[in-house]
Amino acid sequence: MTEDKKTIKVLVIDDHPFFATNLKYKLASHNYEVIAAKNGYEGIIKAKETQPEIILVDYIMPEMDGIETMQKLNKDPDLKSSYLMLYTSEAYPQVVEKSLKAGAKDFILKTTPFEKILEKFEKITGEMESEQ
Amino acid sequence: MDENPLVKNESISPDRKAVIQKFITLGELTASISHELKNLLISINGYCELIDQKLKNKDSVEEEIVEIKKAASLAQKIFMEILSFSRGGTDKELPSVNINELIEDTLMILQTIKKTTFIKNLDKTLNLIPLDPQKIKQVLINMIMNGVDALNNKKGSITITSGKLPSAFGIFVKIHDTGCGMSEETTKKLFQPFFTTKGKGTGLGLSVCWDIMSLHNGYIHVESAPEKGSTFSLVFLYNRFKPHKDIVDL
Ligand SMILES: Nc1ncnc2c1ncn2[C@@H]1O[C@H](COP(=O)(O)OP(=O)(O)OP(=O)(O)O)[C@@H](O)[C@H]1O
Ligand SMILES: [Mg+2]
Repeated sequence: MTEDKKTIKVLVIDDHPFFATNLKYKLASHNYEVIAAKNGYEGIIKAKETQPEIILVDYIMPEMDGIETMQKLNKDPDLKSSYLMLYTSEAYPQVVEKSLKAGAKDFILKTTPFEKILEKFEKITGEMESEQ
Repeated sequence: MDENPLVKNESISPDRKAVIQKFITLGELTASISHELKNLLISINGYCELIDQKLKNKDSVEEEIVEIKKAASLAQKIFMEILSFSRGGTDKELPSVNINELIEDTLMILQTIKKTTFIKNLDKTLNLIPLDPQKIKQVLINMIMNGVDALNNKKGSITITSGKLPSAFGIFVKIHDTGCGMSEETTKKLFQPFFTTKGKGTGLGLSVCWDIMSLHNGYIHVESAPEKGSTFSLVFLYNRFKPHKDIVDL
Protein backbone atom coordinates (compact mmCIF):
# COMPACT_ATOMS: atom_id res chain seq x y z
CA MET A 1 0.00 0.00 0.00
CA THR A 2 1.68 3.13 -1.14
CA GLU A 3 -1.14 5.62 -1.60
CA ASP A 4 -4.01 6.48 0.70
CA LYS A 5 -6.67 4.41 -0.99
CA LYS A 6 -10.26 5.46 -0.41
CA THR A 7 -12.22 3.02 1.77
CA ILE A 8 -14.94 1.28 -0.23
CA LYS A 9 -18.28 1.01 1.55
CA VAL A 10 -20.40 -2.09 1.07
CA LEU A 11 -23.94 -2.11 2.43
CA VAL A 12 -25.40 -5.58 3.04
CA ILE A 13 -29.21 -5.66 3.40
CA ASP A 14 -30.14 -9.09 4.72
CA ASP A 15 -32.25 -10.38 7.58
CA HIS A 16 -29.79 -13.23 8.13
CA PRO A 17 -27.00 -11.53 10.05
CA PHE A 18 -24.40 -14.05 8.96
CA PHE A 19 -23.79 -12.59 5.51
CA ALA A 20 -22.81 -9.12 6.69
CA THR A 21 -20.82 -10.51 9.62
CA ASN A 22 -18.92 -12.84 7.32
CA LEU A 23 -18.08 -10.16 4.74
CA LYS A 24 -17.11 -7.78 7.53
CA TYR A 25 -14.72 -10.37 8.94
CA LYS A 26 -13.20 -11.35 5.61
CA LEU A 27 -12.97 -7.84 4.17
CA ALA A 28 -11.39 -6.45 7.35
CA SER A 29 -7.87 -6.91 6.00
CA HIS A 30 -8.80 -5.25 2.71
CA ASN A 31 -9.76 -1.67 2.12
CA TYR A 32 -13.49 -2.13 2.72
CA GLU A 33 -16.05 -1.08 5.29
CA VAL A 34 -19.10 -3.33 5.63
CA ILE A 35 -22.38 -1.84 6.83
CA ALA A 36 -25.22 -4.15 7.86
CA ALA A 37 -28.97 -3.54 7.61
CA LYS A 38 -31.43 -6.21 8.63
CA ASN A 39 -34.38 -5.16 6.48
CA GLY A 40 -35.32 -2.98 3.54
CA TYR A 41 -36.41 0.04 5.58
CA GLU A 42 -33.18 0.10 7.58
CA GLY A 43 -31.27 -0.52 4.35
CA ILE A 44 -32.70 2.54 2.60
CA ILE A 45 -31.95 4.79 5.60
CA LYS A 46 -28.38 3.48 5.92
CA ALA A 47 -27.80 3.79 2.17
CA LYS A 48 -28.73 7.48 2.25
CA GLU A 49 -26.61 8.02 5.36
CA THR A 50 -23.45 6.30 4.18
CA GLN A 51 -23.60 6.51 0.35
CA PRO A 52 -22.06 3.07 -0.20
CA GLU A 53 -20.29 2.21 -3.46
CA ILE A 54 -21.83 -1.27 -3.44
CA ILE A 55 -25.21 -2.44 -2.12
CA LEU A 56 -26.03 -6.15 -1.75
CA VAL A 57 -29.69 -7.04 -1.23
CA ASP A 58 -31.11 -10.40 -0.12
CA TYR A 59 -34.20 -11.73 -1.91
CA ILE A 60 -36.53 -12.87 0.88
CA MET A 61 -36.80 -10.52 3.84
CA PRO A 62 -39.54 -9.74 6.34
CA GLU A 63 -41.95 -6.90 5.55
CA MET A 64 -40.31 -5.66 2.36
CA ASP A 65 -38.71 -8.20 0.02
CA GLY A 66 -35.48 -7.68 -1.91
CA ILE A 67 -37.22 -6.74 -5.15
CA GLU A 68 -39.24 -3.96 -3.55
CA THR A 69 -36.17 -2.77 -1.63
CA MET A 70 -34.13 -2.55 -4.85
CA GLN A 71 -36.93 -0.71 -6.64
CA LYS A 72 -36.95 1.89 -3.89
CA LEU A 73 -33.14 2.18 -3.81
CA ASN A 74 -32.99 2.44 -7.58
CA LYS A 75 -35.59 5.21 -7.71
CA ASP A 76 -33.81 7.27 -5.07
CA PRO A 77 -32.02 10.23 -6.71
CA ASP A 78 -29.50 10.34 -3.82
CA LEU A 79 -28.27 6.85 -4.59
CA LYS A 80 -27.56 7.03 -8.30
CA SER A 81 -23.89 6.12 -7.91
CA SER A 82 -24.37 2.97 -5.82
CA TYR A 83 -23.85 -0.35 -7.59
CA LEU A 84 -26.90 -2.46 -6.74
CA MET A 85 -26.69 -6.27 -6.65
CA LEU A 86 -28.98 -9.10 -5.66
CA TYR A 87 -27.29 -11.28 -3.04
CA THR A 88 -29.03 -14.62 -3.21
CA SER A 89 -28.71 -18.24 -2.17
CA GLU A 90 -30.22 -19.45 -5.43
CA ALA A 91 -30.31 -17.78 -8.84
CA TYR A 92 -33.76 -18.76 -10.10
CA PRO A 93 -34.08 -17.19 -13.56
CA GLN A 94 -37.37 -15.54 -12.61
CA VAL A 95 -35.86 -13.99 -9.51
CA VAL A 96 -32.79 -12.73 -11.36
CA GLU A 97 -35.00 -11.26 -14.09
CA LYS A 98 -37.23 -9.53 -11.55
CA SER A 99 -34.25 -8.08 -9.75
CA LEU A 100 -32.67 -6.76 -12.96
CA LYS A 101 -35.98 -5.07 -13.72
CA ALA A 102 -35.97 -3.62 -10.21
CA GLY A 103 -32.61 -1.96 -10.89
CA ALA A 104 -29.98 -4.53 -9.92
CA LYS A 105 -26.90 -4.48 -12.16
CA ASP A 106 -25.81 -8.00 -11.31
CA PHE A 107 -26.24 -10.76 -8.76
CA ILE A 108 -23.88 -12.64 -6.45
CA LEU A 109 -24.56 -16.13 -5.19
CA LYS A 110 -24.10 -16.58 -1.49
CA THR A 111 -22.16 -19.75 -2.12
CA THR A 112 -19.54 -17.89 -4.18
CA PRO A 113 -16.05 -18.23 -2.62
CA PHE A 114 -14.84 -15.07 -0.96
CA GLU A 115 -11.91 -14.57 -3.38
CA LYS A 116 -14.32 -14.40 -6.32
CA ILE A 117 -16.52 -11.89 -4.53
CA LEU A 118 -13.50 -9.72 -3.78
CA GLU A 119 -12.45 -9.94 -7.43
CA LYS A 120 -15.90 -8.73 -8.46
CA PHE A 121 -15.81 -5.84 -6.00
CA GLU A 122 -12.37 -4.76 -7.24
CA LYS A 123 -13.58 -4.83 -10.82
CA ILE A 124 -16.68 -2.77 -10.02
CA THR A 125 -14.82 -0.15 -8.02
CA GLY A 126 -12.03 -0.04 -10.63
CA GLU A 127 -14.61 0.77 -13.28
CA MET A 128 -16.21 3.38 -11.02
CA GLU A 129 -12.86 5.14 -10.59
CA SER A 130 -12.06 5.15 -14.28
CA GLU A 131 -15.50 6.62 -15.01
CA GLN A 132 -14.79 9.61 -12.81
CA MET B 1 -51.32 -14.88 -5.90
CA ASP B 2 -51.05 -15.11 -9.68
CA GLU B 3 -53.22 -17.67 -11.35
CA ASN B 4 -51.54 -19.85 -13.88
CA PRO B 5 -53.12 -19.80 -17.38
CA LEU B 6 -53.48 -23.59 -17.16
CA VAL B 7 -55.82 -23.18 -14.24
CA LYS B 8 -57.98 -20.69 -16.16
CA ASN B 9 -58.26 -23.01 -19.17
CA GLU B 10 -61.93 -23.97 -19.56
CA SER B 11 -61.25 -27.32 -21.22
CA ILE B 12 -59.50 -28.77 -18.17
CA SER B 13 -61.76 -30.46 -15.66
CA PRO B 14 -62.00 -28.95 -12.17
CA ASP B 15 -60.53 -32.10 -10.63
CA ARG B 16 -57.52 -31.93 -12.88
CA LYS B 17 -57.18 -28.21 -12.18
CA ALA B 18 -57.06 -28.82 -8.46
CA VAL B 19 -54.17 -31.22 -8.99
CA ILE B 20 -52.35 -28.78 -11.30
CA GLN B 21 -52.93 -25.93 -8.86
CA LYS B 22 -51.47 -28.00 -6.07
CA PHE B 23 -48.30 -28.61 -8.06
CA ILE B 24 -48.00 -24.97 -9.06
CA THR B 25 -48.45 -23.87 -5.47
CA LEU B 26 -46.01 -26.46 -4.25
CA GLY B 27 -43.53 -25.39 -6.95
CA GLU B 28 -43.70 -21.75 -5.90
CA LEU B 29 -43.51 -22.65 -2.26
CA THR B 30 -40.64 -25.04 -2.87
CA ALA B 31 -38.66 -22.33 -4.64
CA SER B 32 -39.05 -19.85 -1.79
CA ILE B 33 -38.53 -22.49 0.83
CA SER B 34 -35.39 -23.87 -0.73
CA HIS B 35 -34.08 -20.32 -1.01
CA GLU B 36 -34.72 -19.63 2.64
CA LEU B 37 -33.50 -23.00 3.91
CA LYS B 38 -30.32 -22.55 1.89
CA ASN B 39 -29.75 -19.17 3.51
CA LEU B 40 -30.08 -20.75 6.92
CA LEU B 41 -27.81 -23.69 6.13
CA ILE B 42 -25.15 -21.46 4.56
CA SER B 43 -25.35 -19.32 7.71
CA ILE B 44 -24.98 -22.29 10.04
CA ASN B 45 -22.03 -23.64 8.06
CA GLY B 46 -20.43 -20.25 7.74
CA TYR B 47 -20.73 -19.51 11.45
CA CYS B 48 -18.99 -22.82 12.17
CA GLU B 49 -16.11 -21.79 9.92
CA LEU B 50 -15.95 -18.39 11.62
CA ILE B 51 -15.88 -20.12 15.00
CA ASP B 52 -12.99 -22.25 13.82
CA GLN B 53 -10.98 -19.21 12.80
CA LYS B 54 -11.93 -17.21 15.88
CA LEU B 55 -10.95 -20.02 18.23
CA LYS B 56 -7.53 -20.14 16.59
CA ASN B 57 -7.19 -16.42 17.39
CA LYS B 58 -8.62 -17.01 20.89
CA ASP B 59 -11.54 -14.65 20.11
CA SER B 60 -14.93 -14.98 21.77
CA VAL B 61 -17.47 -17.06 19.83
CA GLU B 62 -20.60 -16.67 21.99
CA GLU B 63 -22.40 -14.51 19.44
CA GLU B 64 -21.84 -17.05 16.68
CA ILE B 65 -23.26 -19.85 18.82
CA VAL B 66 -26.41 -17.83 19.59
CA GLU B 67 -26.86 -17.16 15.85
CA ILE B 68 -26.37 -20.81 14.95
CA LYS B 69 -29.10 -21.78 17.41
CA LYS B 70 -31.47 -19.17 15.97
CA ALA B 71 -30.85 -20.24 12.37
CA ALA B 72 -31.21 -23.94 13.18
CA SER B 73 -34.51 -23.50 15.02
CA LEU B 74 -35.97 -21.36 12.22
CA ALA B 75 -34.90 -23.98 9.67
CA GLN B 76 -36.63 -26.64 11.75
CA LYS B 77 -39.84 -24.56 11.93
CA ILE B 78 -39.89 -24.02 8.15
CA PHE B 79 -39.28 -27.69 7.57
CA MET B 80 -42.18 -28.70 9.82
CA GLU B 81 -44.56 -26.30 7.99
CA ILE B 82 -43.75 -27.68 4.57
CA LEU B 83 -43.94 -31.25 5.78
CA SER B 84 -47.41 -30.79 7.22
CA PHE B 85 -48.54 -29.11 3.99
CA SER B 86 -47.34 -31.74 1.57
CA ARG B 87 -48.22 -34.76 3.67
CA GLY B 88 -51.23 -36.67 2.36
CA GLY B 89 -52.85 -36.27 -1.06
CA THR B 90 -56.06 -34.46 -1.93
CA ASP B 91 -57.27 -37.16 -4.30
CA LYS B 92 -58.49 -39.35 -1.50
CA GLU B 93 -62.18 -39.19 -0.65
CA LEU B 94 -62.63 -36.53 2.00
CA PRO B 95 -64.70 -37.40 5.06
CA SER B 96 -67.77 -35.29 5.83
CA VAL B 97 -67.08 -33.32 8.94
CA ASN B 98 -68.88 -31.02 11.32
CA ILE B 99 -66.56 -28.04 11.38
CA ASN B 100 -67.74 -27.07 14.89
CA GLU B 101 -66.07 -30.21 16.19
CA LEU B 102 -62.77 -29.16 14.62
CA ILE B 103 -63.12 -25.74 16.25
CA GLU B 104 -63.81 -27.36 19.65
CA ASP B 105 -60.82 -29.71 19.26
CA THR B 106 -58.52 -26.86 18.24
CA LEU B 107 -59.61 -24.62 21.12
CA MET B 108 -59.13 -27.47 23.57
CA ILE B 109 -55.49 -27.77 22.50
CA LEU B 110 -54.90 -24.02 22.55
CA GLN B 111 -56.77 -23.28 25.77
CA THR B 112 -54.29 -25.32 27.76
CA ILE B 113 -51.32 -23.31 26.57
CA LYS B 114 -52.60 -19.71 26.34
CA LYS B 115 -54.21 -17.34 28.80
CA THR B 116 -56.30 -15.59 26.13
CA THR B 117 -60.11 -15.41 26.45
CA PHE B 118 -61.73 -17.46 23.73
CA ILE B 119 -65.39 -16.80 22.89
CA LYS B 120 -67.31 -19.41 20.91
CA ASN B 121 -70.31 -18.54 18.83
CA LEU B 122 -71.09 -21.71 16.92
CA ASP B 123 -74.11 -22.39 14.72
CA LYS B 124 -75.33 -25.82 15.82
CA THR B 125 -77.35 -26.39 12.64
CA LEU B 126 -74.42 -26.43 10.21
CA ASN B 127 -74.25 -29.00 7.42
CA LEU B 128 -71.47 -31.54 7.31
CA ILE B 129 -68.90 -30.72 4.65
CA PRO B 130 -66.17 -32.79 3.00
CA LEU B 131 -62.78 -31.70 4.21
CA ASP B 132 -59.41 -32.85 5.41
CA PRO B 133 -59.71 -32.51 9.21
CA GLN B 134 -55.94 -32.40 9.90
CA LYS B 135 -55.34 -29.65 7.34
CA ILE B 136 -58.33 -27.56 8.40
CA LYS B 137 -57.20 -27.88 12.04
CA GLN B 138 -53.82 -26.59 10.92
CA VAL B 139 -55.55 -23.59 9.32
CA LEU B 140 -57.53 -22.91 12.50
CA ILE B 141 -54.42 -23.18 14.67
CA ASN B 142 -52.42 -20.82 12.42
CA MET B 143 -55.26 -18.28 12.36
CA ILE B 144 -55.92 -18.40 16.10
CA MET B 145 -52.20 -18.23 16.94
CA ASN B 146 -51.91 -15.15 14.73
CA GLY B 147 -54.77 -13.64 16.76
CA VAL B 148 -52.98 -14.54 19.98
CA ASP B 149 -49.80 -12.90 18.67
CA ALA B 150 -51.80 -9.81 17.65
CA LEU B 151 -53.00 -9.41 21.26
CA ASN B 152 -49.33 -9.10 22.16
CA ASN B 153 -49.79 -10.18 25.81
CA LYS B 154 -52.36 -7.42 26.33
CA LYS B 155 -55.92 -8.06 27.51
CA GLY B 156 -58.22 -9.05 24.71
CA SER B 157 -60.27 -11.80 23.24
CA ILE B 158 -60.59 -14.04 20.25
CA THR B 159 -64.08 -14.81 19.02
CA ILE B 160 -64.75 -17.77 16.78
CA THR B 161 -68.04 -17.74 14.96
CA SER B 162 -69.38 -20.38 12.61
CA GLY B 163 -72.44 -19.98 10.45
CA LYS B 164 -74.19 -20.46 7.13
CA LEU B 165 -73.59 -18.10 4.25
CA PRO B 166 -76.64 -16.14 3.04
CA SER B 167 -78.73 -18.07 0.48
CA ALA B 168 -77.17 -21.31 1.68
CA PHE B 169 -74.11 -21.06 -0.58
CA GLY B 170 -71.88 -22.61 2.01
CA ILE B 171 -70.55 -22.08 5.50
CA PHE B 172 -68.07 -19.75 7.13
CA VAL B 173 -65.83 -19.64 10.18
CA LYS B 174 -64.86 -16.18 11.42
CA ILE B 175 -61.86 -15.64 13.66
CA HIS B 176 -61.96 -12.20 15.20
CA ASP B 177 -59.28 -10.77 17.48
CA THR B 178 -59.20 -7.48 19.34
CA GLY B 179 -55.45 -7.19 18.74
CA CYS B 180 -53.19 -4.72 16.95
CA GLY B 181 -54.86 -4.92 13.55
CA MET B 182 -53.05 -4.26 10.29
CA SER B 183 -52.21 -1.45 7.91
CA GLU B 184 -53.42 -1.67 4.31
CA GLU B 185 -49.81 -2.33 3.24
CA THR B 186 -49.65 -5.41 5.45
CA THR B 187 -53.09 -6.67 4.35
CA LYS B 188 -51.86 -6.73 0.74
CA LYS B 189 -48.85 -8.90 1.54
CA LEU B 190 -50.39 -11.25 4.10
CA PHE B 191 -50.54 -14.35 1.97
CA GLN B 192 -47.08 -14.10 0.38
CA PRO B 193 -44.79 -16.90 1.51
CA PHE B 194 -42.28 -15.57 4.06
CA PHE B 195 -44.06 -12.28 4.62
CA THR B 196 -43.82 -11.66 8.36
CA THR B 197 -43.61 -8.72 10.74
CA LYS B 198 -42.62 -10.94 13.64
CA GLY B 199 -39.09 -11.49 14.86
CA LYS B 200 -39.32 -15.24 15.03
CA GLY B 201 -42.13 -15.93 12.54
CA THR B 202 -41.60 -17.96 9.39
CA GLY B 203 -44.19 -15.96 7.44
CA LEU B 204 -45.44 -19.25 6.02
CA GLY B 205 -48.52 -19.57 8.25
CA LEU B 206 -51.04 -17.69 6.11
CA SER B 207 -49.60 -18.75 2.76
CA VAL B 208 -50.05 -22.38 3.80
CA CYS B 209 -53.59 -21.57 5.07
CA TRP B 210 -54.43 -20.00 1.72
CA ASP B 211 -53.17 -23.06 -0.15
CA ILE B 212 -55.10 -25.43 2.08
CA MET B 213 -58.31 -23.42 1.61
CA SER B 214 -57.76 -23.37 -2.18
CA LEU B 215 -57.40 -27.13 -2.16
CA HIS B 216 -60.82 -27.22 -0.48
CA ASN B 217 -62.27 -24.83 -3.09
CA GLY B 218 -62.59 -22.26 -0.37
CA TYR B 219 -61.01 -18.92 0.30
CA ILE B 220 -60.09 -16.49 3.07
CA HIS B 221 -61.54 -13.05 3.53
CA VAL B 222 -59.74 -10.44 5.66
CA GLU B 223 -61.02 -7.31 7.37
CA SER B 224 -58.68 -5.25 9.49
CA ALA B 225 -57.48 -1.78 10.39
CA PRO B 226 -54.65 -0.59 12.65
CA GLU B 227 -55.68 -0.75 16.34
CA LYS B 228 -59.11 -2.06 15.32
CA GLY B 229 -58.39 -5.80 15.50
CA SER B 230 -58.75 -8.24 12.62
CA THR B 231 -61.33 -10.65 11.29
CA PHE B 232 -60.29 -13.60 9.13
CA SER B 233 -63.18 -15.50 7.52
CA LEU B 234 -62.73 -18.99 6.15
CA VAL B 235 -65.34 -19.53 3.46
CA PHE B 236 -66.35 -22.98 2.24
CA LEU B 237 -68.68 -23.01 -0.79
CA TYR B 238 -70.97 -25.98 -1.45
CA ASN B 239 -71.47 -25.49 -5.17
CA ARG B 240 -67.78 -25.31 -5.96
CA PHE B 241 -67.18 -28.63 -4.28
CA LYS B 242 -67.19 -31.76 -6.35
CA PRO B 243 -70.77 -32.98 -6.07
CA HIS B 244 -70.59 -34.96 -2.89
CA LYS B 245 -73.26 -37.32 -1.66
CA ASP B 246 -72.42 -36.64 1.96
CA ILE B 247 -73.50 -33.00 2.02
CA VAL B 248 -76.63 -33.49 4.08
CA ASP B 249 -78.78 -31.46 6.41
CA LEU B 250 -78.20 -32.20 10.05
N1 LIG C 1 -54.63 -11.52 13.37
C1 LIG C 1 -53.65 -10.73 12.92
N2 LIG C 1 -53.51 -9.47 13.40
C2 LIG C 1 -52.51 -8.66 12.96
N3 LIG C 1 -51.59 -9.02 12.03
C3 LIG C 1 -51.68 -10.26 11.52
C4 LIG C 1 -52.70 -11.19 11.93
N4 LIG C 1 -52.53 -12.33 11.24
C5 LIG C 1 -51.45 -12.15 10.45
N5 LIG C 1 -50.93 -10.91 10.62
C6 LIG C 1 -49.77 -10.34 9.90
O1 LIG C 1 -49.46 -11.18 8.81
C7 LIG C 1 -48.10 -11.64 8.88
C8 LIG C 1 -48.00 -12.99 8.23
O2 LIG C 1 -48.68 -13.99 9.00
P1 LIG C 1 -48.25 -15.51 8.87
O3 LIG C 1 -49.14 -16.32 9.74
O4 LIG C 1 -48.20 -15.87 7.43
O5 LIG C 1 -46.76 -15.54 9.40
P2 LIG C 1 -46.22 -15.24 10.89
O6 LIG C 1 -47.35 -15.38 11.86
O7 LIG C 1 -45.48 -13.97 10.87
O8 LIG C 1 -45.18 -16.43 11.10
P3 LIG C 1 -45.52 -17.87 11.73
O9 LIG C 1 -46.88 -18.24 11.18
O10 LIG C 1 -44.42 -18.76 11.29
O11 LIG C 1 -45.53 -17.69 13.20
C9 LIG C 1 -47.77 -11.56 10.35
O12 LIG C 1 -46.38 -11.44 10.57
C10 LIG C 1 -48.54 -10.31 10.78
O13 LIG C 1 -47.85 -9.14 10.43
MG1 LIG D 1 -48.69 -17.10 11.74
